[in-house]
Amino acid sequence: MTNLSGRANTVRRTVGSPEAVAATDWLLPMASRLNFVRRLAKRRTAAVSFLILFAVVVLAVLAPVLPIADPNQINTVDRLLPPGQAGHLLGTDELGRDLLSRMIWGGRVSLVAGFGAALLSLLIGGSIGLVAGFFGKGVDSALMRLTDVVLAFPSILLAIGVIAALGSGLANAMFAVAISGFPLYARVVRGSVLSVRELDFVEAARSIGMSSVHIVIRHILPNVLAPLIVAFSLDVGLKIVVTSSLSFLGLGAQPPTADWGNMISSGRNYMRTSTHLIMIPGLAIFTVVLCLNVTGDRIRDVLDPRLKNT
Amino acid sequence: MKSDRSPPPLLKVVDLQTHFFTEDGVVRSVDGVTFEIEATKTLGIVGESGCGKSITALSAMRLIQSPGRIVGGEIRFENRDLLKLSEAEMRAVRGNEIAMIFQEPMTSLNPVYTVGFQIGEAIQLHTDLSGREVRARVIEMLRLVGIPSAEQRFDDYPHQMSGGMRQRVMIAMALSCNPKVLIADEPTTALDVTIQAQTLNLMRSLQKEFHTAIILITHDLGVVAEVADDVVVMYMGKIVERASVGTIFDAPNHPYTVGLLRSTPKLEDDHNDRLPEIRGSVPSPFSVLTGCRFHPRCDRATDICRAEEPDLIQSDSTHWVRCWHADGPPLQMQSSAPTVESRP
Repeated sequence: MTNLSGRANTVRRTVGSPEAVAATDWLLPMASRLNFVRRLAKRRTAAVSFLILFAVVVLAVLAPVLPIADPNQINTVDRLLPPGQAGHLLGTDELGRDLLSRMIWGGRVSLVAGFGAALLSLLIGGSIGLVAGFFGKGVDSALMRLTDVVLAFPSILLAIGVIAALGSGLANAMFAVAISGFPLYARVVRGSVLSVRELDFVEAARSIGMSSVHIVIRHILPNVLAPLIVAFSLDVGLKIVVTSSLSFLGLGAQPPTADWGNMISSGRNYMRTSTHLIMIPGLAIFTVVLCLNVTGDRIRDVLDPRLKNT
Repeated sequence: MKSDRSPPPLLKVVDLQTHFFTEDGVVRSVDGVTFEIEATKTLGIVGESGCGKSITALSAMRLIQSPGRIVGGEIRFENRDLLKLSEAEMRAVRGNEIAMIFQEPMTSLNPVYTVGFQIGEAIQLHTDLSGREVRARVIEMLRLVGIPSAEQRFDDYPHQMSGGMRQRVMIAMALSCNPKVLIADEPTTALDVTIQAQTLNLMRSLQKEFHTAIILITHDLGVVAEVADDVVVMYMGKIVERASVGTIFDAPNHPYTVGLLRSTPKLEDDHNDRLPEIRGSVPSPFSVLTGCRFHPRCDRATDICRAEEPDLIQSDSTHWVRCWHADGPPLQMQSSAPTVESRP
């Protein structure tokens, strides 16, 4: 326990006077959240990654109000312009659509698909892992064998299978990717639950008369959150790649909707003459995934109580 | 503290049997344990590691986890048999009427919540108090267990407190709903000696204030001598001797109790002497022993000890002994026993 003093100094009470505290707020020391961001930014690569991600997200969110061209406006005269042209900063694609605008609007779709699929995976896999780990025995065996079955499928293949059943489209693609990706979370959560449920405070919670459901949600879940968040931050990158791959195969977002995956797909016909059509969306996927992984790594360090002061 | 009229016991455990069904066989961790405790009294349960004292305590709260199971007996608490309650009814008893503190204050608190939150949680489970009232009650409890500047400490996380502080928090949590029985499982074992005394004194003063009955589980005879009114000595899942604390220390009558007392270091002992020990070691829980469970390690053992198990016989109004030779010559207390040898 070398971290006592450092943490004690930073998590001092900024909670208001008792009178000002609302009925539910009496348990949340806010200072620890500010502190979390401060420590996240302490490593330069992580800080830069985080800023890049932040910028990408802001651009995507602000797409409707930014002064950019309509991403689906076809202009056959100005087709396949290289980057750096007046009015078309990143050039145009094979139909003369502005690439910058399509990148920003496509980023919206790719990010939503990536985060959405990862979140859905987390919800499915996390619940399975919690229940399996806490209740053990038959429940555990049944749920984990199911997980193993899904794990045994190549994820793209499984996703294609799910899409074959549900029909193509972005929502179905997200769902398909989420299904094929939940075993990661189920395994991570189950493993952590197995170790946490043996700790004395779980027994102590029982001894004050707490029910199993209550214990799982209030005492086990927060203690397995750290590995879960890390898995999530790494998984979002993976999910962006997989949903992009599905779009590349024509199973995700349907034209004319832009998405980084189907932009690469349609650009590959002009790979020799207009490399920017695949380079730019490819680079975007690469950068976002890299930044997500670096940030995820740092989040893991920040959440690990043994590394509190780094 | 002698009184002629004896009130009905608050908690009465009768012939409790808790077995563990492992792959290697059945372990009879608690095998027919009977004891009772009255309000404001302290009962010490003493024994070596693995003798079943903790399992007895967990059984009393029905906190035994698979592969363990309570297979028989009765736990009468205020005219109810706790073993017959539903799980939901039992939850209303835990923490509210019977509470528990554990050995390891370092891990008994959830690291992700403030101590105030965790004590408040116990109160919220059993009362309808509002958030503000809960907070006030928690701060009052923290003050009661002697935590300085309780209002600030409310928002501390467990890792910001020392072991002794955390054990005080555990005590505050256990007593927050004013339970009638407090089960303390080795509450001082993980603490420094100075903190041990403080904690025991705290428990005693709170016992007076709240009229709580305490079941104190320990292997430390010094602690028992300090706080217990009655003592139960356990060996391999069975009670071997049960008496008032005075009797246990002045006139023990089971060879195991005597062995335990002899192997406690004393100041006046010659430091060159080897500390007497009970010879041999506890047999494997899977071994099948005929006769008295203590006979392989007993100096008094005779043929009958090897053949037949003795019953727990009441020798006077407050003294029970499980030994064939309980009415034999008094046992040697001083370390003139033949096991003593000098160091080179």
